[in-house]
Amino acid sequence: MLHFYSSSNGQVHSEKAMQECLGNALSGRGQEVYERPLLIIIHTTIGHDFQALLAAAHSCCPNATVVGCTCAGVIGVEGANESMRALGLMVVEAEQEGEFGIVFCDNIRGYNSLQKAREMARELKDLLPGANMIHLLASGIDIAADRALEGIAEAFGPELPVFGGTSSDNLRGISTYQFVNRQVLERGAIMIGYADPTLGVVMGVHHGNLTIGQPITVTRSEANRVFELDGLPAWPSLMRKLSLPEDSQPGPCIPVAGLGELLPAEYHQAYDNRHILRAIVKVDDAGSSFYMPVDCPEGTQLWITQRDESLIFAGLGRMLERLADRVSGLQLVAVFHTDCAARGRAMFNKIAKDEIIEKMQDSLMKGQAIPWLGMYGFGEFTQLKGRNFFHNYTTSIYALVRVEGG
Amino acid sequence: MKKKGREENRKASYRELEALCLELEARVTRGIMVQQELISLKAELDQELNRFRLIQEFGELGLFRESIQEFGALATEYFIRAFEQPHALLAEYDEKSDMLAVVSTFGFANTDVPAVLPLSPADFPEREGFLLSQQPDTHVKLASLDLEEALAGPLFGPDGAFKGFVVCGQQRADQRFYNPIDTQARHSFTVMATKVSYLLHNFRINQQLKQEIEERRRVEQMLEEKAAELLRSNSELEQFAYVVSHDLKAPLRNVLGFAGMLQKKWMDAVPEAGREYLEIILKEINRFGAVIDGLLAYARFSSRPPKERQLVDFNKLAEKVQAQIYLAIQQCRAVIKVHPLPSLPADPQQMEQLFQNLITNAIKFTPSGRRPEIDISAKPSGSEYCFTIRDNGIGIEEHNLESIFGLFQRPHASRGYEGSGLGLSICRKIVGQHQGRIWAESKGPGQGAAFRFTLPCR
Repeated sequence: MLHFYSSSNGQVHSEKAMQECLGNALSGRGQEVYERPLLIIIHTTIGHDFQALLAAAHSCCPNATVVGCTCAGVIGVEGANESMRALGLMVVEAEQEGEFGIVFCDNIRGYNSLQKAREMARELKDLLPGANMIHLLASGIDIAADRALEGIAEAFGPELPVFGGTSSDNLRGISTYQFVNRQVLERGAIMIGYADPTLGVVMGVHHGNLTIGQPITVTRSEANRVFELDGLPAWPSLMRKLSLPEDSQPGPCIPVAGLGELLPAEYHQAYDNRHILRAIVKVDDAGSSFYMPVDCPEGTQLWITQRDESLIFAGLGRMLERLADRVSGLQLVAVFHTDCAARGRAMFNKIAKDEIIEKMQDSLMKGQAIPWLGMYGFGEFTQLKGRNFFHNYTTSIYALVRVEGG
Repeated sequence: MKKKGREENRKASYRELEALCLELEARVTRGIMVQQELISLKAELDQELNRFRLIQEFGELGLFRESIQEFGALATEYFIRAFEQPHALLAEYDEKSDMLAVVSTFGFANTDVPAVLPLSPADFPEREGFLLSQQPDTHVKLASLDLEEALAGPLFGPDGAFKGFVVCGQQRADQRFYNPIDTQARHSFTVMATKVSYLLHNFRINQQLKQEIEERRRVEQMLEEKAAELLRSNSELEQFAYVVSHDLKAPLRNVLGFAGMLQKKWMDAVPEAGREYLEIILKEINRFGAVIDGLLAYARFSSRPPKERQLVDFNKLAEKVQAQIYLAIQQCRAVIKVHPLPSLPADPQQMEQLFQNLITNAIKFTPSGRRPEIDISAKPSGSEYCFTIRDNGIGIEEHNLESIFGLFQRPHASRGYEGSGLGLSICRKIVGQHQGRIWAESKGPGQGAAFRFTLPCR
């Protein structure tokens, strides 16, 4: 059986930040817990000294496996923190050996996402045959996330829940980082398998954007790289449509340049929206084509979208109600949470953001102290009606619950 | 004709509709940009509010730092938090050495930061924070920090004195992730720098006070230890003196007894010279006896605390003492003038001894042929009375004014006068036990002397 403990802080000194976080997460667990073969999942913003964080984690917990990734902000029970040096972590303690396992790869790109994910998933299946869910943390710049999900499905079947997100920087879209023990990767992917039969995951996902105007058609593309929209160079034409300079960098445009893609009709109700959103994080060096986080075949219709305040709040409320219904009567063990980086300070002021986080946490925790680790990433892996999807611009909640024997 | 006209109308309305759609789309995208600008403004406001919250928080925490290093570390960490920059440095100015010494740094692990910054108060004619790039001279002087851009500012204390310098910014490599420094942040940087300088000023004052208190405590403790040690050694010495004197008395009595018998029974058989020697022996034995008696008296005063104090009428006491030494007074026709004296709480026996010693001394140390004139008075002085016993005796050299109160101290001028050299030691002991002070004043040999002592009113 797996047990979870979380903490987050805004301490700027990296070593102290890690020590403080671990101390708070494991407070009251006694000194011997630090010696156990724990799993430490960390999310940190881009300003921290990553090597110092990892060294401090290993120094405090010498037998732990440390994994994690960078993000634009961390979300914990303590609230959201989008400063340049924010740290959040979840410590996972297994009662028995073989209840969790990790595999990872480096250099995952759009063109090899399927192959890399398939290899990792197979490795994980060998390592942890009883894995009943996968927590996926991957590079957020140029991965083809839908292909990565296909790769996992090839090894584990399409039913196995996959949750998590893609790493981000501070919305600049330059580099994101992943961590495995003492290694810092720039284009890595990490799969954490949980093999605890008493554990289930209930997911909720929601975004608050509406499509506007006429669709734009992808007229030339290659896998997840889009060369032309309506017969024109893709990136400059999109920028013109948004009244932005044609040579804009993609990172700062993320909050306004979300594109909508029509979802199959059977998911409209579950998603509370007809469109799934795509964020553009990378543009080619010439500033002409851009990379989508999923495959984008020619003929795909894309819409410019606009956030809708009432949909954001009302939709979030509806999603939380549905989620609360589904976890009702079950023991909530921990919550992982991935929010789109654009839904942080780039979209809300502090008061609104705090209100949203509080609303989410209150509706699930109901006054209890439940470990919570969230991040503002570039994308979210969340199921819809039992099928694994990759999303952008959403709030995605992954509530871990005891389903039997808990 | 009609059909063609309808088609043209339809085409025209389609074009209008398309134009309208494009206009609407353009308006929406303009709306998106305006909305985004508003969000950016709100974010800036949030950031500014957060800075002031952090400045406030720092102000509260900064008050309770134990060392300058701890204070510096806290200050640089709060600059990092408030201004979201990767590097910060705090330096303190030392007026004595005229040097700006680095107290604390943050994020300069890969940079050789000098221990002393090559800046002086003259480099800061203004008190406000500034962008380093806008002050090229300062930027060049700080080249070793490798800062591409930074917020910097002098620290001035509440007394207007230059206290130090703070800088918080980014190196070239940091510009990958860090946004350019917001010039709007200069105001809050100045506020934070002012907070730091005031706290630094307070910290130094507190530290000085702490050091002084510490030093005072140390001295007090040392004095207490010394006093205890002195008390212990005095007590041992007095015990020793008492035992020795007591044990010397017995053999001395035997010597005196046998010498007396020799004088009484065998005097006729002793030749003239022998008789003379015998007289010297007896005289010396008596002198030795007097010394031992003095020592015993001194030891007795030392080892026994004064009895419970009673109200002593010093007028009556002076009369009683004069009666006791009546013969000595008569012999030298001494004149003793007693001014009105107070009544004070004291040990009557010890006071009697004190007066007897001082008056006897005044009589004893008057050159033969001169009529002793003794004047006894007392004056209130704050919470005590100051007594004076003035004489017209042989006087005291200035360098002996203090030493005459020591054990067996007999100044050169008094060598021709009888005495054990213990009388004034006993006087000092008595007065000390009454929480008073005793001292002597004299204009010099032949000028007479005044012995003054104080006794508390309560």
